[in-house]
Amino acid sequence: MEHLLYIALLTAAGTLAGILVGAIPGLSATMAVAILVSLTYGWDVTSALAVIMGIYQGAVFGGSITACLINIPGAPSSVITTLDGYPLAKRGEGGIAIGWACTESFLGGLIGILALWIGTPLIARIAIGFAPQDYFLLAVFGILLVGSFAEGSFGKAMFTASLGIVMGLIGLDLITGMPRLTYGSDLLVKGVDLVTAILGLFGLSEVLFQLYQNSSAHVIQKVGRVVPPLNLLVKYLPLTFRTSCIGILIGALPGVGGPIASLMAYDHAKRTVKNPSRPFGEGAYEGVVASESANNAAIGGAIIPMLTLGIPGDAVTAVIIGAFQIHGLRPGPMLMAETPELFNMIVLSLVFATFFFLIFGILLIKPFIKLVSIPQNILLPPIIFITVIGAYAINSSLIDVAWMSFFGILGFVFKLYKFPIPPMVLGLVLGPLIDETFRRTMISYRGNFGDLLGAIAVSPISLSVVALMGVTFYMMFRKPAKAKAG
Amino acid sequence: MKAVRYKSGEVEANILFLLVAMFFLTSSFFIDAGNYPAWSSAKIVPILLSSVMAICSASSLMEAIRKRQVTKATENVFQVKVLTYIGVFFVYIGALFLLPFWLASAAFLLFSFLFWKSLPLVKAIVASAAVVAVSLTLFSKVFYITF
Repeated sequence: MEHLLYIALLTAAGTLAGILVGAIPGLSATMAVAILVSLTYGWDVTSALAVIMGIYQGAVFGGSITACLINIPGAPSSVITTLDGYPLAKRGEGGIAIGWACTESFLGGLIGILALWIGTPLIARIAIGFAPQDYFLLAVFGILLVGSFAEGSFGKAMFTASLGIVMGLIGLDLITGMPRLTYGSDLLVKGVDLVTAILGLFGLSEVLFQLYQNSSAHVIQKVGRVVPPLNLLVKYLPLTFRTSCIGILIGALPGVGGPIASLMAYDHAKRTVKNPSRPFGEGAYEGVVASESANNAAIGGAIIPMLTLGIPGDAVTAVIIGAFQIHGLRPGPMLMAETPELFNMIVLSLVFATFFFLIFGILLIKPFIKLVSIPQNILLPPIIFITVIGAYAINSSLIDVAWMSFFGILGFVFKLYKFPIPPMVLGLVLGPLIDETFRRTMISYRGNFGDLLGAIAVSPISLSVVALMGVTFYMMFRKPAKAKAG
Repeated sequence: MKAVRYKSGEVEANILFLLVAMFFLTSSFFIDAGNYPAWSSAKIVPILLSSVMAICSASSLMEAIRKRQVTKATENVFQVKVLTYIGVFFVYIGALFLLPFWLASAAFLLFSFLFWKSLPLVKAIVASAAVVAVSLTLFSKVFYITF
């Protein structure tokens, strides 16, 4: 009981921090989780995961606060919320917009957790029977994630992903045990530390970029009443359920994640709701309902491939894999079989976090708004300092701080010239997996590609992965058309 | 039609990325492959991925060159203020190797608050001291980090 209370308190702290970070434009959930992951080195894994899950849930909801009040999404998954949330705020219904975002994120979050709880053990059981080529196909499937981060240039996304993979291969080769791409340096034999790279790429680079843009305080719309009417809440339950299911399915596809989930849910609401409260794009409650229930439901979906296959569902889950590595764990089917208590812990933390952000979202909305109005040039320098402490904390080494600074500047240059950063982190996570599984597969087929293709053609698991890759490709090409329509 | 906006140094940055790709590609050929056949040797994935990097950076370079040719307005990314700040940040990282963590960090925070005109001098001194004192105490007690 005491342990449960302790976990609840940690999750509450994480959720609060997540909402605050999510509500500040420019500071993302990925950045918050990246900084925290490095600091939890000395903690036990359950405590660390409790805080991280709280941050993840809280930040995705927190992004909707600024999306509604200042038309700037605090997180990428809240972009669609601005379409109807901000028009609502301009009508003086900012509080109701946040209230809808909060309750729908709560309902979507719970449905997503239910799917996670039921789906994860089933998929883990299937994953135990995977052959090396299935893992290779899955790792390649994960790399398809770059498509959803392309921001207009697939080539730039592919460049950063490939750079990540190659940098992920620096150090000792897992199969031969020989140093690779180390150029005779002892510093490189250990390889590139994932958490150090993440801290620089998501933490320092984001802060430097915000300072470069020299953002100032924002004009905040009025808040007013927060709690949405109960009769409307009941009326929208079928829509909530449908859009949450969309969120779970999209979230579970590697790389498609919350932003696309909310976009597709919004598109679904536009097509299926015959008489919206107002036209979509002019403050329709249904628009906020669809977007917010889907993006929080996508969290449960994104955790499923991370836990069962070791393939991140989005950028935050890529960072969470770093947390597992720090604590000596490797996500995959064996993790589910060997440490089922860890899975229960994750589900429990997510449930706690969902309830906490509902409470905090409704009760503490005014202090959150005050924080959002603090100029960024006051908030950002202390965050730089915290990224430095975070990098130092990994091994109590200033060399890690120097590495973090290198990745921070690299990330800043990438941001300046619109090279997407998440594919690089994805490459760092999946690079060693792709290398190992591809070479083991080729060793087992004695280097014969024909045999490999034949094995894929007769294996139901391999064929399912290939089919999933096809679906992901379809989603990637569907995205720009829908974005224009929205 | 959407206006093309070229950012200063974009072509040069892409040339640098292409050079990085070529560097990794060249060094991948020198990886010790041991007795493994070509498709399962330690050099295969680095060679393939460095080639992808080189192709992508070359295409990105072409795009940047095209953009520079048709653009009417160039956005200057080399802001003296930002470059100076990054320079001072590296001095701070260097100072961490020589000075106590708290001293270097407090000095850097004070500089940041004054440089970005966030706070007046007295408030900046108080804020820097408070952030460093609270953070270091909190992180050493909660996260068990020894500074």
